Amino acid sequence: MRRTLLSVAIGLAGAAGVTATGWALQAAALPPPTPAARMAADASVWLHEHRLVIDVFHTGHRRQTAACLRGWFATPHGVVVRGSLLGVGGGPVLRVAADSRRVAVVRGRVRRLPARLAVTAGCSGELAPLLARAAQSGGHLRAVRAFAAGRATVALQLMPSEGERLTLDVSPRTFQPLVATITRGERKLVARLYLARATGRVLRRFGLLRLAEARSRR
Amino acid sequence: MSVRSPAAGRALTLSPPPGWLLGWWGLGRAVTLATAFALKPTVWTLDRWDGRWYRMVARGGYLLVPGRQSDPAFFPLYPIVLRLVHGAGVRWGLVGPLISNLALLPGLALFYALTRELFSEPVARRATIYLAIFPLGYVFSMAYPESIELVLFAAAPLAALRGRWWTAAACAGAAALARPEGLFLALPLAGIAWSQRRRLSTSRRGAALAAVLAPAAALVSYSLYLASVVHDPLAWSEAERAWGRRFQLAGVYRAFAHLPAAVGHTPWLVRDVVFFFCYLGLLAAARRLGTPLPWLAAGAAIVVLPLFTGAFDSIARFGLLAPPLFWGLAGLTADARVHRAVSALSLGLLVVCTVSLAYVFP
Repeated sequence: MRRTLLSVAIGLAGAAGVTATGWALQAAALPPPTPAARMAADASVWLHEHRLVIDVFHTGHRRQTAACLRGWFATPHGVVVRGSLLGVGGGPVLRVAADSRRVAVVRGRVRRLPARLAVTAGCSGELAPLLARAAQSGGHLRAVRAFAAGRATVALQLMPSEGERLTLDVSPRTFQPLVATITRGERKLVARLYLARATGRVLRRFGLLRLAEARSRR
Repeated sequence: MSVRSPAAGRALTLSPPPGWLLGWWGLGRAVTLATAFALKPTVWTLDRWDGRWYRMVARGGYLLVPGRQSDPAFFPLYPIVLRLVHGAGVRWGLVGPLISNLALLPGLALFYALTRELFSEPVARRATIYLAIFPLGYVFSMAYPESIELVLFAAAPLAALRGRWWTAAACAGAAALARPEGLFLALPLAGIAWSQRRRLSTSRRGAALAAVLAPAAALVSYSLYLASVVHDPLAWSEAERAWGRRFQLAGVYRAFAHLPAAVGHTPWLVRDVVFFFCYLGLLAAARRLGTPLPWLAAGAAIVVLPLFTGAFDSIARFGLLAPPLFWGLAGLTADARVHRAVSALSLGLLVVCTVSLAYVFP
């Protein structure tokens, strides 16, 4: 009996040794994530948890209110695709497919608003994967102290694609996204982001309600 | 490099591999590399798919992005090795394929030695040849941890069979840090410990128990590390969910029920389904050959358990780490003509499967 207990004690001590050695090996050999990567990951979670973003876009001297809804939507060909719908002030509506990132005008005409920049900066379905990718890869991601939306923020700077620069100002405490600024060449767009719940009233206001319901009717 | 039993018969020593083993390793790698370079004359083909994720961990460590595909799904040993070799001056794109191709040689040598201990020399030789040129064996040339896992998966039970239980514990622990399949090493190690129980001293029994517990202990170390870095000890499981992998009792039913739709979406899935049923047949053949029950259980777990996640994806690749499959195949090819036919077929399929790498993940 005593010998059996001794064997068990040696075995458990050995297993504990494997655990301790394994942990020490990982802690010594692998780098911890950078603060910028952590913040980008947390900001991505905020966006992931909110299907609807109400945006106030600033381009040049113009100011436009819009709302972007993430989900599954029917195309004119009857195919249901994952993507986002951006309704600008109750008028024109844009649709961006999540996989191809192709922007299509669903309704009306979009004037004086760079559509590509608007969906990138103003849609949670576009911003969240950009941030997640940047957080995971760590390349071209920086975090600096900044001031935006009337308060101190942390500005996450990343390059979503060649020639495109995105700065996302997040709350320094909760990392909630507040302002997205995107530039491509000479064009610049600033979007104040309000993460919101997708209610019928809001969707109706931005002309998204019927388009959002089209999916559920199919 | 091969494993030999010296006069004492209780040590793991390394000596040059036999010529035939070197030849089959060289042939398998030459076929894979030539096909991969014919597709694209860079290491791109061998460094893509999961290789990108392992490199990401090696360069920047772990980060969990809830709800999205993130890197804690990829176990830490391989990224650690990548980082160490990169530190010696090898560039990132090359380091993964280089390690995998080189590690396969000791992996095959250890597998041969293990098989020889359990069966006979002819069975060991044939099983090792099939492993070297297996259709899915192109993964052994990619930036994937399978080669390293093979080394550890063969070394741990071999050390145990030779009474080197602390070495077995270290290898089993390392195997579980390389791939989740390492957990199943506990089964053959427990079987070996049970068969040796009357011969073992008190301290060796303790070491044997440590070896059986080592894979689980190593997994605990990974969870503790993730808890300290990403504040979620089960981040690896959480990350797997973003790939649609979630263990459920009804997973097997879902895998079969959703199969037509899944094949419609990804026709390449047929490959995994075909291999899955071949693997079941090979497990039966391994049983007929007299494979010890704990080994059969480990092999079955490696092949069947992934189905509980509700998908067939990558089951063909997972089978590479189930030794009983290759023992079963070797048991079916005692006739020299059958052996030659299987070898030729395997080499042909190795080319075809390597070409598929341009279109689909392994």
